[in-house]
Amino acid sequence: MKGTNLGEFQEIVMLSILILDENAYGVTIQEEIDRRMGRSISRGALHTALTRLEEKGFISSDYGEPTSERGGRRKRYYEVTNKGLATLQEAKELREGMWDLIPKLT
Amino acid sequence: MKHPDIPSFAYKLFKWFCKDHLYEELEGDLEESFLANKEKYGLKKARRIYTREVLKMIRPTVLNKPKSGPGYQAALISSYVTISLRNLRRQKLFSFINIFSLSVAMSSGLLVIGMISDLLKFDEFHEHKHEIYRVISSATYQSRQLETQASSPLGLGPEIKQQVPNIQVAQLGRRLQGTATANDKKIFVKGIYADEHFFDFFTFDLIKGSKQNGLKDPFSVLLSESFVNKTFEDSNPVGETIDIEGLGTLKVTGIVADPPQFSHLQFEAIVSLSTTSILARQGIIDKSHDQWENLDRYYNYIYIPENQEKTSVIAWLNNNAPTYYKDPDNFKASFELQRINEIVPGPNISDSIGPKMIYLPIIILSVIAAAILLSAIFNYTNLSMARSLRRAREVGVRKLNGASRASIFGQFTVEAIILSLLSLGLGILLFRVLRNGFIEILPRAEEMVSLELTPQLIGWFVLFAIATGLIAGLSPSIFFSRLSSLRALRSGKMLKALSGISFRKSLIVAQFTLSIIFVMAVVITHKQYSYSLNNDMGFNKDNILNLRVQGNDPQILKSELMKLPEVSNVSFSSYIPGVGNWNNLQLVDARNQDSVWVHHIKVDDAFLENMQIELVAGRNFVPGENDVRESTILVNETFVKNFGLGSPSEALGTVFNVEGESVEIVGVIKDIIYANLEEHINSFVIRNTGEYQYANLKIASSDILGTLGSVEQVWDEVDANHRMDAAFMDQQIEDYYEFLVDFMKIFGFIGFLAVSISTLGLLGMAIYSTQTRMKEIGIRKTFGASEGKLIYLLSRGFFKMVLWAILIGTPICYLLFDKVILAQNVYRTQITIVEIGGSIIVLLLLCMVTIITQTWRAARTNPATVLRDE
Repeated sequence: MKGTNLGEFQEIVMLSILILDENAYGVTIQEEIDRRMGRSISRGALHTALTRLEEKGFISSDYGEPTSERGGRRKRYYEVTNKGLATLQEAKELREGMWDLIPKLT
Repeated sequence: MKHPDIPSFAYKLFKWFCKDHLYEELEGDLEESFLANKEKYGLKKARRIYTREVLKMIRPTVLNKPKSGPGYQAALISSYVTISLRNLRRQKLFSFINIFSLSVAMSSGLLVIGMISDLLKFDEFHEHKHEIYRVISSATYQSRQLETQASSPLGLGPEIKQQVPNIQVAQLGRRLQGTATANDKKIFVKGIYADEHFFDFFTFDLIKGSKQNGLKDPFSVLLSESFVNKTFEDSNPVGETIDIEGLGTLKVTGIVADPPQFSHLQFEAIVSLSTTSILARQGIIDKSHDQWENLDRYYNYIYIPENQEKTSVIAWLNNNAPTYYKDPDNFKASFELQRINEIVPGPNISDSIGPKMIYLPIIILSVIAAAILLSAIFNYTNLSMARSLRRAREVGVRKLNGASRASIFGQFTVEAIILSLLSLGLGILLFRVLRNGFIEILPRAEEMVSLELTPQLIGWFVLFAIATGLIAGLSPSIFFSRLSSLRALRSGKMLKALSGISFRKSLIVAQFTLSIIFVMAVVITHKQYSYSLNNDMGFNKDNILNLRVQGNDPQILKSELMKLPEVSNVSFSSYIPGVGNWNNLQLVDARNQDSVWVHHIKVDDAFLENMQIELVAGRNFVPGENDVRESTILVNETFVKNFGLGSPSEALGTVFNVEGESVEIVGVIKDIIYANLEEHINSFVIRNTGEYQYANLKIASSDILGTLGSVEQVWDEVDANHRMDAAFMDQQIEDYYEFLVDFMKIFGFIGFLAVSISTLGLLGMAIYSTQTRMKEIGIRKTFGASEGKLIYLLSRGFFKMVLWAILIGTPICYLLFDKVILAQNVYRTQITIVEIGGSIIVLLLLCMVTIITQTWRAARTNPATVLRDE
């Protein structure tokens, strides 16, 4: 796990990208997190998280076609890389393994 | 494109700070959210959210890193430096000319900066420098405003101390000097009087003795450390006595540390101020010395503690002090405060207690140094612009590769600053060589400036060099940074027109104008100096040794001196004529009782013969004639004319009243220049009253040293108490006009700087312009132009500039000297074609050598070598 530690917020961002699938770009990710978490995050904070994830190689991005509703500016679509997916899986397994170790109270 | 509803400030702000490569995505997202929010929450809230979002974007991952980050800047500057050094090395000749002329010019600037920085140190050593004030006074005598004086009445100090609370006062006095006899040694001493409050607030150290009591009792004296070392050496002087000429015996009460050099109070001895009242009672000092009407020789220093307003002191000086004058219509004085560290350099006030330096010479020197420096800066500008052709290509390539205007500007500025710093190195060497000469030239400067190279001073020098570099680099930087790459890379033809030929030419003309002015100034000053020495004063000044009588009996002195075979005659006079002295005398016309002020001198009967003064009518004094009471006088021709006495022989026998005695004119002499060349010859009276200050010895021997030796022997026999004080009259007159020599030295030095800088500049231009025209010369030569024609063609332009400079400079200098400087003298030399022509020829010759060596070489080059390389 060394060097690939994942913050909680970063994990949520990656999961949101996975949920959004083909339509994951700044605004939709922001909305998704908003909806799921019930917490409003700024686009700037999201940008920082995305930058960090991209630096780690967990996500990649591509520009789409320009659209008129954005003043002709292109969207930047994000997708989770295989490395990112593996890391998410690892994190999930780690947690589940730990949950399993908790003595059942029932 | 901005959506019209988006708040424009936030939009612009974001655009400004966002990294370029992120902008498209982020602004797109922000705008999309904004539109969604507008649907959901309405315009107002959407705008608010947008602004908030933008502000939250201010984070390291989004912020555009400014190009001027420290690392980037350092890299840029180091690249500037590397390229500058390469350029300097590649252009060795231009670099040399620039560095040499800049360093020569800087050295004069450095001298002035050094001087100013020394002067600003004056009295800064006092711990209470911001709280000590001196009372300065201006008197009004019979409604005539007199000069402002540094001194103030002796009575003022005690009164103000009593009436204004919380202040302290120390009183000082000057005119303490004379031969001191201490420990059986005779040595000249100079000092001040001070009261017992001297150590209360001045920062002077007492090495031995008591600060409270050392200056309390009359006839107490504190000696300075260096004076003690010269006299008492290792023995303890405290409790011993010393004699000071005119004061009597004084008791040594302590040793005071030598005052710092940068102190306006200088002393080898401090005598208690209470001594003066006893001296006044004995008649040694004027009895009126402590009257409020006497503003001379005493100084009141007031200490106003920091928390105390000085307004109460000023109010007392303005309101209370004038009430001490009982007859204000006849005499009154007003008083002001002057802070101790503002005395030197300071305004021009008389009766100063120590060295003084007024602003005017500092300003003049600064202006001259600035003019010289500007001249060298012109050179740099000129040569850089001239090289523009070559440099333009470099600039063009840089610009094509994306260099901004600012970076081109930076490159040329850094280049100028590096050059200027290199010049500073050489300039500091020159400064060290020149500084002693500079101190010698300036009158009294050795007391006031040391020009020592302190780290602080070097700091100032570096700042000065950087400023010089900035100014020198300004116009080349602007020129090159404005250049468009297209223009820069295209053929040189367009550039030439751009590089401001007329501007460069006018700079050269300005330089040579300065040069011709200074060269002429030196020549004219020299002429006035030799005129001053060789001009017929109306009396003989050769082989006359003037000996100060110092209170001895003239008759004894004369009979002893006459025994010497070297002395052929001895006469006496009350002062030495021709060296700027004269005395006033009130004369009452016996016919109509009108009183008139005239000038006079007191001499004995041998004076006329000794000085070879010519009598036009009447006779000389007869020995013994005026012994009982003064009955006869001699007058000069101007006197006869001014009083309307007709012809000289008609004037004989006219009777006047002098100091209550009636005297008769028995002789009329030719006009002599008894004062100096600056003053008109006034009505002049020669009296014979037996009161003399000087013996005038006519020396018949050519062995000057031997004669001085035997005169000194005679002197020591006659007077054992004083040292002989004698000087040859021609030397005294020469010394009196020494200031003209100083002028000559200063003008000469500056002239040398100006001429060498402008000639170097001309050399650079000549080299450059012949080099760029080599091809033209080659072609002309192949078509049959002669060498002479070519030299003429190439040199013509330069000579035109020099001639313009001469045309402008000559009348300026002529008028300056003829109407202003020489016009201060009544008796003066005339500026003739010889001086003007001579200066012009010298300058022209210099230019000719400079230009023709270059053009001649170019004209002789084989055209094949020039035309082949393409």
